Amino acid sequence: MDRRTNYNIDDYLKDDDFILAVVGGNLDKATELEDFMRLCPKQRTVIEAAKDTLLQLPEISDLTDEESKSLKQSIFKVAELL
Amino acid sequence: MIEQNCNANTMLNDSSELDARLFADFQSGDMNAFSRIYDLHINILFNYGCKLTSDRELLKDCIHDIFVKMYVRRSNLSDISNFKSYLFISLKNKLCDEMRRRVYMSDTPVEEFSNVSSDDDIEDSYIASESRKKDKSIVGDILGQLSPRQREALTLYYIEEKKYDDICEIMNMNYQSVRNLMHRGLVKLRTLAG
Repeated sequence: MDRRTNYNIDDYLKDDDFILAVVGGNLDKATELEDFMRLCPKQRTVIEAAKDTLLQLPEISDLTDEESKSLKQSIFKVAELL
Repeated sequence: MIEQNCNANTMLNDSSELDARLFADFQSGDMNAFSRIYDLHINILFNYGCKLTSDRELLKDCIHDIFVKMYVRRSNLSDISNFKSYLFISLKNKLCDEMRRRVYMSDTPVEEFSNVSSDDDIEDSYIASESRKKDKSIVGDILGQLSPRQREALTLYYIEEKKYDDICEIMNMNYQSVRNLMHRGLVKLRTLAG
């Protein structure tokens, strides 16, 4: 049985192949996903909803400027040390 | 919907090209490019992470670590075909690793680490939660009698749905050793479950 048969939206958001197909524009993975939707039509709605979720992630988050800046500084600080 | 997908694809291609340029510059040692990569992706990455956990601090730690790892491994990352999916998958893997590590290192019930919100009504959620607690308590008792390595291997395979190759890498063991470890763990589980 295909692992995705009982997937919910959250499962798709954690699935590497799904991310590669939707976000990565990987044609092989996208075709494979289309094939799966034909074989398992009850999953189509879930897949479409998961796709929308991934593709419509807002460019603005509730990470404050201060948090973002501090995180960046910390990354660069560690990077300088390495 | 078709128009929406076309627009999304066009935007995807544009941002992919920009990502590719910035990443090439970053690999050549341009720290401004690294800075721009961070600025361009931090919000969307944070929003993706929020779909997987509601623990902001954990999420920030994981984002921190994947950017540092990217910096350290920059010269070995030539085979990235799409930068955004690389970031998403890296973050997802890092969050899974961290959550698993926290579960192993604490007595906190596993369900408290699962922070994805649900639309189920409160009563159903409560009943399901109680039922899960009972099941987890039974499973926890049995799993507690396995060795830590057996527990880790079985969790990776059956819960995290990792492939054998991934488990070998995570546990730093060869294929046959992982198979043997899992086989012995399963035999013990069957005996314990009676």
